[in-house]
Amino acid sequence: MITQDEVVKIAKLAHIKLSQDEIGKFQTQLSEILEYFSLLKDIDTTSVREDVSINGLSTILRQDIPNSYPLDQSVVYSNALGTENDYFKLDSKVL
Amino acid sequence: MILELHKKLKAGNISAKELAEEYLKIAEDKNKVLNSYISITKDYAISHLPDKIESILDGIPGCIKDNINILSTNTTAGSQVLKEYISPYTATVISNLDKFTLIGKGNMDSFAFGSTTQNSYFGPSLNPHDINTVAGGSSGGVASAVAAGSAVFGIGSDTGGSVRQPASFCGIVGLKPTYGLISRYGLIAMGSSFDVIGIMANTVDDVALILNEACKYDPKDSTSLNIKKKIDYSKFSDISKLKVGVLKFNDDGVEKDVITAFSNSIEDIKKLGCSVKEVVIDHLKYVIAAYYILVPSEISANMARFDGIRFGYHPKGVKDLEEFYIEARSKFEDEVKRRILIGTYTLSSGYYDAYYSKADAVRRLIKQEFDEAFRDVDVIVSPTSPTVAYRKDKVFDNPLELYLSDIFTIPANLIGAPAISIPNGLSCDNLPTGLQIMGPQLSELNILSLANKLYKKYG
Repeated sequence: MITQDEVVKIAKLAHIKLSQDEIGKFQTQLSEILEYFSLLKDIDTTSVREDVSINGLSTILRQDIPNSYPLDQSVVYSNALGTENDYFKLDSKVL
Repeated sequence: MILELHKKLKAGNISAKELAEEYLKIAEDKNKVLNSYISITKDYAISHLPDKIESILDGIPGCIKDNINILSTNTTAGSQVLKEYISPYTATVISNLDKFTLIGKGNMDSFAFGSTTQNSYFGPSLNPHDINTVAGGSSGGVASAVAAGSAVFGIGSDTGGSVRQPASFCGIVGLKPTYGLISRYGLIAMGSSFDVIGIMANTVDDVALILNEACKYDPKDSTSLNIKKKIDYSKFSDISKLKVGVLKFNDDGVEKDVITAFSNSIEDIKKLGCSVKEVVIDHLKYVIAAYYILVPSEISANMARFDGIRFGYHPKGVKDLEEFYIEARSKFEDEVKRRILIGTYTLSSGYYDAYYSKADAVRRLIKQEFDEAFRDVDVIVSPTSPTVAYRKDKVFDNPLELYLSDIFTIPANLIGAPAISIPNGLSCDNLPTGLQIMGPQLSELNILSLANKLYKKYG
């Protein structure tokens, strides 16, 4: 069982705000889920090969040159809170 | 169905505009009850009609899951956080489908986290077979639209069964291809090493025709597979020599009607001349634990991009940057918060080895075991879902209960393999059950060919 303090700590790490009710609810639910995960402790994984690739892909690299399909800057900013001089802009009170 | 429509469009028996208007009307009428669509894109459809019919999908009406970007359309991912978001670019899979007609964007569980569409900010999508049941999820809106006949085909995403389970619930065909076969560029990420774009339609032929168009190498997705030999997936192969493995599974929690339908399909497979043998996967009971550690871990990393600055919910009247982030992320739906919290926990210092590393090793163990199984058999069959569609008022107080229902679909995502769900007969309550056919990586032609022979259309 994880504690309410642990739930609060994880939520803080993830920048998630929880109400007191949510802290209680997630404490119960996460505890059940984490308890279920302990099933994996039974498996001996010491001999599992590190080089087994799931998707048959190895590290994918490309030349360090700009690609030919950039998005236009104005398009990239189209969902932003605000922009100024090609930067994302926040309310000045925040910073 | 697509081929017939294509011939009619090509011959001028019907125009793309007439076809679009016909399907848009059905969509608008049925959406009032089914809630298949988050947005019906009438203006977009009419202003993007093909001038002439060339490609097989030109003018064919489709529904696209609302986590796939299409330039200038609203793309919400089923979440309140993105309800105002307008796509700044188009996903590769959409460009590959040429000038199909976009009827609308399909409803989904928020950020594709769920299997009922009850997690959608826009409410659940209902099942055309029985509107007292849900369409499943997370691509439930797309499945509901295709089954109801308001779209000829649909494009969804499948991270743990999100195309196959709703296809099963709604009595249509749903394909999850090999990881990397269809570009993920433009798909809103969930679990990046699991996510694939999937295809839904009423027939196996239609799914194969769409796959032909959808799977092109894409340098914009670094995991896109560059396959030199082009396969025509609509030219089905002879399956009479196919070696079919029947997955041995624990009956607990699998509905009786699902088991009966599955047993009947084994007899059908034998009648086709295929050899049949039981396949035992010792680690099957561990797949859900491994998946629900690894995917939330990837989710917690992927969801970190939602900072409220570049896109998403922009909070106002906060005192500092820390509070800005927290407020921006406060609009996440419950299941999104839950998975971010699980993933943050399993990746956090002190727990990383016990959870993430362990689950990653188990994933490789499961992969090895399936690789061995596929040396003996060409495909493995199982039910798609242990249940038929859930009642729309069913409340899942314990999220684990719902996670456990992904038992049959998750293995294909864990090992990057293709799997298809096809209609497999109705339950006593007249709800569809599904048969899943899974194969090793890049065995799409085999599974489509067998699926085409076994496919049973509902009357």
